[in-house]
Amino acid sequence: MLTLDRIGNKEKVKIVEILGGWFIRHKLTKLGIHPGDHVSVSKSGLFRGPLHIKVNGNEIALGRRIASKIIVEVVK
Amino acid sequence: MIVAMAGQPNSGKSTLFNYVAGYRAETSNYPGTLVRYLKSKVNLSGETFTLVDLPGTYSLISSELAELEARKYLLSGEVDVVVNVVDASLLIRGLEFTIQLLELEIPLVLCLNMMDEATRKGIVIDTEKLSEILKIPVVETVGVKGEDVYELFEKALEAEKFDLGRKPRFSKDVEDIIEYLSDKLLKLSEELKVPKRLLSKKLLENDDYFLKMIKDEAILNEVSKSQKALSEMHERPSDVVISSERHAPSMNIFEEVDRVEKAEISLRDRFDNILMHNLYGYLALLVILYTFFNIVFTLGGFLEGEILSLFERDLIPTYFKGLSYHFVSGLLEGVAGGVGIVLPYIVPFLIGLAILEDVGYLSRVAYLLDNFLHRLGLHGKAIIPIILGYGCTVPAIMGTRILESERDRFITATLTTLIPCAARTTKNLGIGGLFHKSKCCPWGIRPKSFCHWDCRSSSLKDAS
Repeated sequence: MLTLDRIGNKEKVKIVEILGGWFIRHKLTKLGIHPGDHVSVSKSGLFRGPLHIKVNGNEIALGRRIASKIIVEVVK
Repeated sequence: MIVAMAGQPNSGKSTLFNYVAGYRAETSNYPGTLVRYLKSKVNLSGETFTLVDLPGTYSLISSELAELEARKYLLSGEVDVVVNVVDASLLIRGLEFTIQLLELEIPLVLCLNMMDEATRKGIVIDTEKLSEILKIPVVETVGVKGEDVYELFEKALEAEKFDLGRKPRFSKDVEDIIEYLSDKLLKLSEELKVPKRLLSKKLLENDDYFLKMIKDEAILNEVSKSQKALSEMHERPSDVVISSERHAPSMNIFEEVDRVEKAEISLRDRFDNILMHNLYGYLALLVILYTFFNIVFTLGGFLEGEILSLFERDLIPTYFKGLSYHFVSGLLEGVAGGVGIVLPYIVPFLIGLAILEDVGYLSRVAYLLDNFLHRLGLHGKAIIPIILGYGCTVPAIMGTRILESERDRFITATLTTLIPCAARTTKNLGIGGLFHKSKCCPWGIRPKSFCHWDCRSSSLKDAS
């Protein structure tokens, strides 16, 4: 199972599912992140710092812990 | 007539509000809470209306206090027109909120703000088509430049004539369940004064506030039955089903009205590449903070010297002589000390910090230091009140309101009290001067009072 926090820089992925409880799902929905969306990782912070991602034309910094709840698949 | 402005955080709502009403706005709190909103009377082409700037909200779900209060206000029945402010460069996310607002069944005007930013990103929006699809007026604005802002509110005043817009339909099976549940909720919807479809969707989304409102056991059973049916049909939790159903039409509408052209690679992107770089970013952070504090203390030192000498050398000895000199100087030097030592550092500090905030650097700092602050159990955002603490502790503690949880606010507020504010730093360095022979401070920061104390320390030594 591939999660978003294990994705390297400049890779493009598609969100398959969001794990975690209501609050996490709701928080991600608010930020415009849904299952099925395409995400590209632009940068990842030093020492497992936050991920800087692009989704639907929006730039978001996402903590590792919340990123580890997002199951993704690599888009070829 | 009451016009409420609703929109997601950073959509430029407050800029629009300040443009038409800022100078006489009154800040109010929602009863019993610390959630604030702005309110002002506005006169536009002969008509007077009350403009309300609601706190920025991402959705109409009650996961945060600000969102809950904004929703309560929108549902209170007082609002005549809602102006939905959307960041045009983030249209998809904005449309999801617009679709929720349509459910309120209050006349709605869609404002595509920050059009200049969208153009820079290469986004071209067909507003007429958007207006046709949603059946609501759509106005493009650039809030910071004041472009078309008056047109927006003129449209809002006419909005009573428009119909309530067209809500995108969800898939058939989801609609069926919403319909089924809404029929059961007739009585509750009248009691709470919430449109029944909105209520049934929110309940399917597991909205805590509305769920607690249900006293009737039978209705609760119906809700959980419908939730279960929905999640079994789609093999996902029911709240995900509803939010996906809202996301899909936003994507479709976006694709219909939007044309993406080649984006300019802006100066900002290039700066970001350096400022958020894993190595250069931290070096830049050190350089920027060093320069920032150096400017603040150099400028502050200069101002302090001027103000103190104005009082001590010019004002007091000129006007008072003899006994009155000793009496007045004792009184005024206390004031001079307060004004002359504290203000020269805090004012440049706050101005400098406001500039860093406005150019967006503080959120980059939050990104860079997120990892470190997580080790303290905090979010990266907590760095903003902490930096503010170097200026003054009081606004720093007030600034902790940007943090989401009570726990984070508590930890950050406690930490900021341990950070020496500008006045304390000057005093510390001054007292340091008493015990330190060299005239140079180890960090190159050398406020005037340091010197001041330094001279006194040498005279103390001479005396001994």
